Amino acid sequence: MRIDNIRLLNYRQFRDVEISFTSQKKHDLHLIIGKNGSGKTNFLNALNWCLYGDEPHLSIQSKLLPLLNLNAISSAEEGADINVEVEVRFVKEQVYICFVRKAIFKIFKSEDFPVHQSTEFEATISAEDMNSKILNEEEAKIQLERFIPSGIRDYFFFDGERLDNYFKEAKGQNIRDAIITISQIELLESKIEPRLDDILKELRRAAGRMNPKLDNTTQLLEEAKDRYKNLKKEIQGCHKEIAISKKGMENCDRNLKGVPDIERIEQELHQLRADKKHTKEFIKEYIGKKANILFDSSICVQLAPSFQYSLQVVKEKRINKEIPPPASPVLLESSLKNNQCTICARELDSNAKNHVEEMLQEIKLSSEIANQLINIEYPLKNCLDRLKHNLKELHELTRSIDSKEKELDKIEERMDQIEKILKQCNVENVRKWFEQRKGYEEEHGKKQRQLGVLEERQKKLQEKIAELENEFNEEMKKEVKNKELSKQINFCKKSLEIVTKTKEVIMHETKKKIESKTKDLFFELIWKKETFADIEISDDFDINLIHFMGYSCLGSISAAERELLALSFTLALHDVSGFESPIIIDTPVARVSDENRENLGKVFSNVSKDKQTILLFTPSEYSDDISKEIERIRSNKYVFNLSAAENEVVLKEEKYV
Amino acid sequence: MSKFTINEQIIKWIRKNCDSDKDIEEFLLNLIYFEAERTGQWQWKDNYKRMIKNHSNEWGNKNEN
Repeated sequence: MRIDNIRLLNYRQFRDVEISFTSQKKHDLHLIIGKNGSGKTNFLNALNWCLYGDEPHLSIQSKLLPLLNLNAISSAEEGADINVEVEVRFVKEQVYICFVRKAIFKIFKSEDFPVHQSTEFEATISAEDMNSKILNEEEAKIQLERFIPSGIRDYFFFDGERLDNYFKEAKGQNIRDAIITISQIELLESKIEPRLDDILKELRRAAGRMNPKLDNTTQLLEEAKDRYKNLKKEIQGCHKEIAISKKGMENCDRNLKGVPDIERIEQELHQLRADKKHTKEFIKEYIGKKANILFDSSICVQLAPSFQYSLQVVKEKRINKEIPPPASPVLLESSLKNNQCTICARELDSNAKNHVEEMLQEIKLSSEIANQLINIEYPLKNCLDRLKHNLKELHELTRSIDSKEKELDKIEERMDQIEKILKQCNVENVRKWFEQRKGYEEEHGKKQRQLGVLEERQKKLQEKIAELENEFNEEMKKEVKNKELSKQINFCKKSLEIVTKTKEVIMHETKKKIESKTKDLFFELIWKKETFADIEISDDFDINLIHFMGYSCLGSISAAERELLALSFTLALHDVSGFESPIIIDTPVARVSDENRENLGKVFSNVSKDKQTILLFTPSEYSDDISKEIERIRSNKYVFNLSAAENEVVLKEEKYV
Repeated sequence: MSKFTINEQIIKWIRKNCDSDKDIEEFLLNLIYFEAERTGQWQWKDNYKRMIKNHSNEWGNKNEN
């Protein structure tokens, strides 16, 4: 199924534009080039509006404008009805399906906006050899859901700008639902299975009415089955919550890649501030101590040379035995007075008298000095010792202060570094991401534990149901009167088992096929073939990319690689589940670096061999890197220009030269 | 929806899982076509009951034999 033609009438900046996509080459690749604001994204919106009735890619500017073309409004007469109409025609093997959405507006000059009257949606199926068949709104919707289900339209109509979000949300449930719809498992899951179950219940109740024991078992069985059903829903919910928290963690990890742990850094900064305060107080205290010691020692320091000289003199006097004095002056004076030696009582002659007088004279002088010298010796020594001690203490204090000042420098240096880091990143966002990640991690753990409990309960309940069913069957065997009813119950039960088994097998098979196909396509298209080892798809249809080192790396791959993975997954989904729709990508290289544009060009060339691919570029995005790959293989190339009044798209087709 | 639009996978696996039980196979395939062709029909219960009665009758007889 490919888009053959699109017609836009009075839709936003498209007054009356018709775009045909005719595949002339082996590549079904088409281009639309237009500057920003020229209508490329609204072209994508027009497709969505026509098929699903909404405009998911609408810009803020467009939201302020009416759906109806501004020129159509200004040229309309008062009270006139004007249609907005978008027609998308698909073709497959000469069979055309044309979807048309038409909104009717009434123009009143007194109103700011045209007044919406009604909207119609229908489809027409036509072929050369058959009459056209018109499908009403409901039938058209069913038809559309068969090949582009609304739940997964993001996998068909990409927006390059939003491609980064492609794997961010847990979309597995949407994909699962779409596969169920597309592969018609829906028939089994939401029709046949519950209906057979309903009939089985009714048959068992009928049997119960004939036998009280059967009635009791039926009641117990129904209760157990209801509990099982609720438990199953709870388990599914739990799986979904786990997938969401896992995705959440991956998103946070992607945001936090290379970003410092703000919480840890802020804790460190807090500690550094306390250390700085403490160190400063320490330095201040030691400087005070140093000042006190210096004040105490200042006189000693100044007089220290005199003290040292004085002590030297005392020392010399001692060596010369001048101090202490050799005899007591009192004894000498008494000897002279009595003319007799006070010690030996000998009478003094003139010579002895002279000698004693000389001694007395000498001793008198030395004694005064000696006493003075003896008296100052100890205080001076004490003073110098204290000075020595103070100098030692000062030295130690200086060393401690130096060491603390170095510590302070280091603290301030680290604080500067942290402040720089904090300035460089958006602290609020980073803090929010860390908090979010922590929340997701807690939720993930909580749900995993809950899942364990629920699965254990499910196992026990399964055993109980089997036991009750056995009991019921045994009792039914005794019921000879109700043989027919018994047969119907068994028949219904077996049919139900087969339906459930078939559904599970197809789902499992589909998942495995998508996984294998995605892997084949990704490794065929990726340019870094050695970096990745595997692709896994969970039971919930969430995708996971495994690095060759063994870890999950979806959160850390580049935008180009993510785009490629999204494409591979989409193509696999298309292939396995029978989606035959085209792929339309707006701004496909928006987040892709120059060196990878060339690679993506090759990928689109490859993809368009089997699938219609429509790419919408700005002129600058359609750079040489990508155009050299695409230009030679493309089919139609349209350029969107704005009219002179800048309110209408003027379409120009560029023929391939 | 006409018969040829039923996913072949469903038919293949129903046949396989019925394991040569032709009555159940026939019953389930009829049921699938019935549901595919009459989406949104409200009298499904009577039809289901009737189909079960018809198919189980034979199935039961074969089982007894």
